[in-house]
Amino acid sequence: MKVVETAGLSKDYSLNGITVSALRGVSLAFESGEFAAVAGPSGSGKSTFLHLVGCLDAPSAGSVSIAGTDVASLSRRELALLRRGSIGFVFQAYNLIPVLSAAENVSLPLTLLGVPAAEARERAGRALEEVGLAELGKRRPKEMSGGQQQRVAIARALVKKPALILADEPTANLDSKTGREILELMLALNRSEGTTFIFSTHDAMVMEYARRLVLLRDGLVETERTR
Amino acid sequence: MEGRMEGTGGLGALATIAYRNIWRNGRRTALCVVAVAIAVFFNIFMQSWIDGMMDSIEEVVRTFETGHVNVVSSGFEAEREYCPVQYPIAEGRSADELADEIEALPGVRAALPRITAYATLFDSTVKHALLWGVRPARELAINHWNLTDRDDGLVAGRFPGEGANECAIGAALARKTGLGIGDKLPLKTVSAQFSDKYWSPTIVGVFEFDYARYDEGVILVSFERLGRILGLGGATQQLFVYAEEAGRSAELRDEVARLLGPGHVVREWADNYWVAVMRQSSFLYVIVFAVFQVVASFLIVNTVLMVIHERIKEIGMMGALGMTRREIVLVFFFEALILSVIGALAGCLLGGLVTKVGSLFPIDTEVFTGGGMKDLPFSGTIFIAFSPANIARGFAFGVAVSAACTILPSLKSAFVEPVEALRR
Repeated sequence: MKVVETAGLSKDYSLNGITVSALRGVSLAFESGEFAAVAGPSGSGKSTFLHLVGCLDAPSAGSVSIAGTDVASLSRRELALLRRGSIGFVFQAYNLIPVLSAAENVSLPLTLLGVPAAEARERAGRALEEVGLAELGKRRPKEMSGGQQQRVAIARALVKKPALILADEPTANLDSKTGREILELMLALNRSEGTTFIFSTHDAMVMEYARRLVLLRDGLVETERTR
Repeated sequence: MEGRMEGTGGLGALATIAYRNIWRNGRRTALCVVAVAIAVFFNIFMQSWIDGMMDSIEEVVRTFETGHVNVVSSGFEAEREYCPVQYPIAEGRSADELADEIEALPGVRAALPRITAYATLFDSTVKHALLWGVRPARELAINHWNLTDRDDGLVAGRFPGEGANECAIGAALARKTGLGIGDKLPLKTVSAQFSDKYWSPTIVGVFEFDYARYDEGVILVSFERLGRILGLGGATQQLFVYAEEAGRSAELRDEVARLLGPGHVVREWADNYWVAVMRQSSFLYVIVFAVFQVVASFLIVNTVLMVIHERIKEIGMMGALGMTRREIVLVFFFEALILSVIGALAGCLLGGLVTKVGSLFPIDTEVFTGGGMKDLPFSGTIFIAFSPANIARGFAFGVAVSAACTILPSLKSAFVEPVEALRR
């Protein structure tokens, strides 16, 4: 089953009156359970691609379908609800809510989905356990290391069992050892939960982990290989 | 709050985030709270002060100027400023007969006849005064004349006996004239038949009502004696009707007017000029209070704008998590609302405490007016009115105005595009 499908996806930005094309007609499809990396040098369009697939931005041309739904037809509110239910995000800078504890950060997506409090608490606890942070649920982000915060972010993305997790350079702020641990964790979760992961990177180590690698350059797919 | 977020549901989660966010910058939070608290305190204190002044004016008006219902003849009303005595109420009928008839109406506590007439004083530095013909014993069964000490206001001697050739004068008048108990007060007045009447009552008492107009310019005499001198033949110039309940004044006014028929002017105390002016000014105070509250709220508005700028990445992340625009706006709105509520509560606490203490002690209004508001019918001292309703209103007003002011800046967060915010 195709979780994500893009057709002729383009995105233009206007910078000081000059139009810059970040993506120029990218057509890709990702099947359920994939562990894919979108790689490329800085400015290649990989973050833009992730933002468009994550329904955070609207394409200038082309289309994005998430689990068979063409997102162009959705209202702003429907897009938010689609993200809430079907898409998990992991950011380079972790982006946890600083005033919430790790457990609260993880349970927030469930709370927004209307999951009863006790169930949300229990599922958040399990998600933290899966990422190896069962003991740190009460800690706030500033009381944790970068690697721990990224694990919490992964637990937060995973807890609602989304169709798709998008990770924008998830290891860029981490040292190589911690980065490798995070990748191992994501891979393990991909295998155990069957969750589709698409992550952007320009790090060769990260690319090694991807079962499918899409290389972007100047807004176009340069090469694509599957292991 | 730690660990309780999950138990509060969607809105509860947003409120929890908002509540915890306000402690991220303690100094800024303290400033916002203090600003709102000062505004709420000011509004409660000022409203209580105005209420105290209103209470004083209304009590002075009911005691000295109108009663609950005031009855005069149409002729008197037309020339009221001259205090004419040639237009008695229900000419040909005695004051007692009229009073009895009115007192027989249900809900009437008393109907007190009074006469006022101008007098010219001889052998005195004070040339003019007002003769006030009353029945002290009956009057004091209904009213206190000194509204600060809540007593008869007598500072020396006694009030004149019924029909006696005696008078009591205000302490200020006694000081100005240099007269005291036992002295004669030679004066001239004009009767109902327009003839000059020379009279020289003996001063038997000195009073201090704490009402400057009376303390400085009134000669209190027996109603019977003054009526005889002025040739009223047992009739009365005015009737002050007091109801069992002041709230029934309007109803009573209509009944008395029906009873007396045409040719009379029957008014409720609330129709008094000063009472009406003060009441009509109430909306102006609301505007002043609102302006003060809005100015204080600018600090919260500024804070909301600053935190939206500071937390732009968090807004992007909240959008990525699937929070709708409304939910993101609510986080910032709740934050402003909580600041408003804490500030308003602090203001209420302070306002309640200060007005409670203020209500226990009389405040000398001369300190503030320099004695220049003698024509205004209020007592020389007022008590701040302590009122839980004022405190509740101050709280609701403070929160409502501050919250209303922060809706617009909170909406700014809705226009932050998640993708733009995440790029920062």
